[in-house]
Amino acid sequence: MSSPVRNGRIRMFNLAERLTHGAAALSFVVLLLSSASMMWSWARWLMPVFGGPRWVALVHVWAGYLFTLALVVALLGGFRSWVLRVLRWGPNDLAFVRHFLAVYFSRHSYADAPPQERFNGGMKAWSLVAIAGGLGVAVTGLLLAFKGSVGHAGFQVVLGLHVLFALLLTAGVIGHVYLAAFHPEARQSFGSMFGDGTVSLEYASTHHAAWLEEVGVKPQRAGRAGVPERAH
Amino acid sequence: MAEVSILVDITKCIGCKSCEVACKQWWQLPAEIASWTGSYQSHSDLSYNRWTMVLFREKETADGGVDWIFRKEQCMHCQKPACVAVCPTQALARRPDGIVDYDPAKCIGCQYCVEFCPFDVPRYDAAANKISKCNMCADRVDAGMEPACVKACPTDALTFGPREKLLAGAEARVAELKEAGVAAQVYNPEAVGGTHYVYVLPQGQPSEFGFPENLRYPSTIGLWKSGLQPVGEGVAALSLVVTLAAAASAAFFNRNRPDGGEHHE
Repeated sequence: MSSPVRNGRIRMFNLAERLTHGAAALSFVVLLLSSASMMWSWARWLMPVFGGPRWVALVHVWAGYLFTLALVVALLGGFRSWVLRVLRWGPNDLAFVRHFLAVYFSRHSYADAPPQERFNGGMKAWSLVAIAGGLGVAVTGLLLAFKGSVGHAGFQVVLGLHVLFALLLTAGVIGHVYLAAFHPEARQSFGSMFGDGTVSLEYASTHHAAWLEEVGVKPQRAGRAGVPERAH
Repeated sequence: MAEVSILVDITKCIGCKSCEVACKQWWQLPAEIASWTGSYQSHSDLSYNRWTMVLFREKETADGGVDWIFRKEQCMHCQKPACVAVCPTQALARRPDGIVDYDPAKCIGCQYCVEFCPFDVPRYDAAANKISKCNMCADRVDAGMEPACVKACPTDALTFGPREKLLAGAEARVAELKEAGVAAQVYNPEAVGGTHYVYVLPQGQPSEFGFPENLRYPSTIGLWKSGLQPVGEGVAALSLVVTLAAAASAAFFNRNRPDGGEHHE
């Protein structure tokens, strides 16, 4: 078996994963900012970005279709691996979740948690929250877009639920974006997800050692996760 | 500013539809040629370009005869307007004089008003992506004139003026009708805090005149605006605060470990 490591990097996200994630991320940003410009007067200044009063609601609805499509494609395409890998929880996943707050606040290092698979315990938990929240906001959004299906009274209730689901999902996305784009030890994954999908062997060793073992790569010595060790 | 109202005395309406035409003329709304509705009613319903119209109903009387009912329909200008509560961009706004005004420039076409109006009044146009409705000729009122429909009414079935005066006039008219043997009533429904279009109805239930059977201010507005949305906003704000704290914490811990080497607990 040839080594999956090339030039000291290993592929973590394949093209399909990056494309569906990209579509979901792009549409989510449009959905969040367009709805903010409609719902909150302090964000009204954003409305011209989405075509002003004439277009903003329509842009929101069409971005919602893209988001729903990305979610459905991801769910259908990734269903098997999701059930086999992500829904399967081991002691190391639970141990990661126990470390999570300390890691989130950078008090603990990723390396302090036991070796993690390609999806660590936190990513597995987030997948459940993101899928539940995404489905909630997409289904209620579709009912609002096709409002003939629910009637006036139905619309009124579904609208409140849509707002709730959207805000709860946003609460999760704030944490997701912080970890992936700003967390000192984890922000490398942002460039991976929005780039060629690879991470450094070093990053994989500190964050996903069990995955490396699984694909037959010897993890590097664990340092402070994601940060290059000082040359001696 | 004193509140204003329009009083519609149905017992004086002759169904001439001058109000419909005056409204179209003042607002320069295009004519809409409709097929015959089967009665003297001009069109089947309000539309984006028809903000008021006279509903025509026939009602069988006890002695086998027929009563004709004409009832002008338009925005009721509620004291507690559901449309204003749900309009996200303040395109709909209740003025101090009680008129529920509408600014199309602010309308984003979300149609929440269409879904929440207890009288089913606002009408949406997909091509314009806007709604429309009667605004009681707010521009004419500001210029000291009566609304166009009131100006055109030949029988004074429509009168415009200070709300208190018109309400007193409505009560006096009902007393007068009762004296003449007509079980009349004032329609100024409490469910929406009262309306700035006040009607004198001859005998019969309001639903016989085309008003909603069980008029209610939508309780779903409270569920959404005072329940689900604040909960969601609270959780999102909490997430943001915790995350900012985490970023500050990261700066703190990484300053204490500048070498990025082995991590010691």
